Amino acid sequence: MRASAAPSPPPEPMSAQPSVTSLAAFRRMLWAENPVLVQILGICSALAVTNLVKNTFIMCLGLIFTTAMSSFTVSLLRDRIPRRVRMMIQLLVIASYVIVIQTLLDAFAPAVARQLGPYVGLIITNCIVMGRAEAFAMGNRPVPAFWDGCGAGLGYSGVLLLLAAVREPLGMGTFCGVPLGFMAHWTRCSLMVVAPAGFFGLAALLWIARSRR
Amino acid sequence: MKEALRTILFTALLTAVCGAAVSGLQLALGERIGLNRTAARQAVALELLGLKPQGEIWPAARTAEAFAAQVEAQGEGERMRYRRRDGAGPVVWPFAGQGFWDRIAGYLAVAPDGQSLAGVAFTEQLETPGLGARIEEPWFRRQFEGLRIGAPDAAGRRIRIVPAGSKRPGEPEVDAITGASETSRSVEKIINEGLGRALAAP
Repeated sequence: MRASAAPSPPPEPMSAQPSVTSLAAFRRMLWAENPVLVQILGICSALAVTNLVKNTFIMCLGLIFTTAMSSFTVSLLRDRIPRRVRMMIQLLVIASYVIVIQTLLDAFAPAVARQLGPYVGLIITNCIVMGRAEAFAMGNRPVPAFWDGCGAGLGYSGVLLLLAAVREPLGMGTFCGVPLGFMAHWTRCSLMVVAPAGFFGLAALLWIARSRR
Repeated sequence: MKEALRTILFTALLTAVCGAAVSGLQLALGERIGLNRTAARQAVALELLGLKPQGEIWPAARTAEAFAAQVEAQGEGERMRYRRRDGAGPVVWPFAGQGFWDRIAGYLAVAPDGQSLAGVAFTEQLETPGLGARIEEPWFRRQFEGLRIGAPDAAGRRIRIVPAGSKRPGEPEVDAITGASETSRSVEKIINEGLGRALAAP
């Protein structure tokens, strides 16, 4: 987090120069250019999965893997990808990785796959994955692109887990499915379980985060 | 022109590579995935028949083995049901129907005397997590264990799902899930249909 006394430097352009180091690419995604709080991407899943901490956690792992690997792959191919079809190509790469995750889960962790239901497949439509491929991986070398994807996934995960850590206890009186003793007499707030509560929570979080910048 | 050709060739090549990778993986693991799916359903039937402790996770092979050794399927198509080979325990009937969002499927177990339910389990559902999806939670399912099967009421219901907190002891009633009225209504309809089929059997 940046010290509030220091003058904030001008924002970096979205299409970063090839000179960005892996560490810088990784770090700025966590807070300074957080995909959810700053770029307002990945909102759909931020609303849909954050009523349960466990689902959120697994979704986040899937997203970190997909963003990192697809950015790496797109960056490897970046000089060969024809410009006019570049987004189709990015989507093809992303979808392949997501199907690989889904298949591996079905084969080796059927209980987890069953818990997640349709969420894993929905990683394909997460704007962050394609956003990083288009904004960073297309103009940078593979290793920084990989770290940029990891950072974006972790930045997203931080925000989602925070939302889930508020929504699940208030909505269900549990955390990760474990009943919370001190909330034994809490009346479950159904609003917290449905998507609108995700909107309210995210809006409050955005407000706090932006006023601290 | 040359650019267009390059674009088409590149796209076709990458599609072929990605397609081959994904299909190859599916092909390599398809059998395993199929066994997992079957085993997941068999595990639920085994639990209802009292042949497997509830909630214990068994490897697919162990489930399939126990199912083949101890369970017998009777009847065809809609009349298909499972019994224990040793003759004890309930009769397990599959049920399925439309939920609030998507198909809900599962098994219901009718006690040997045909007068009460021994249990209900869901194998397939995509209801809202935290609301409708709570039909899978033990507290909801436990309500069906030992539930008396009533005579059909005016709407043809043998069991009723009533607003949470209003069920009466001794009546064929279970508490609904607050905030998931549509899912509760669908489950009531689906289970009653399944029960109708089960009781119509000779």
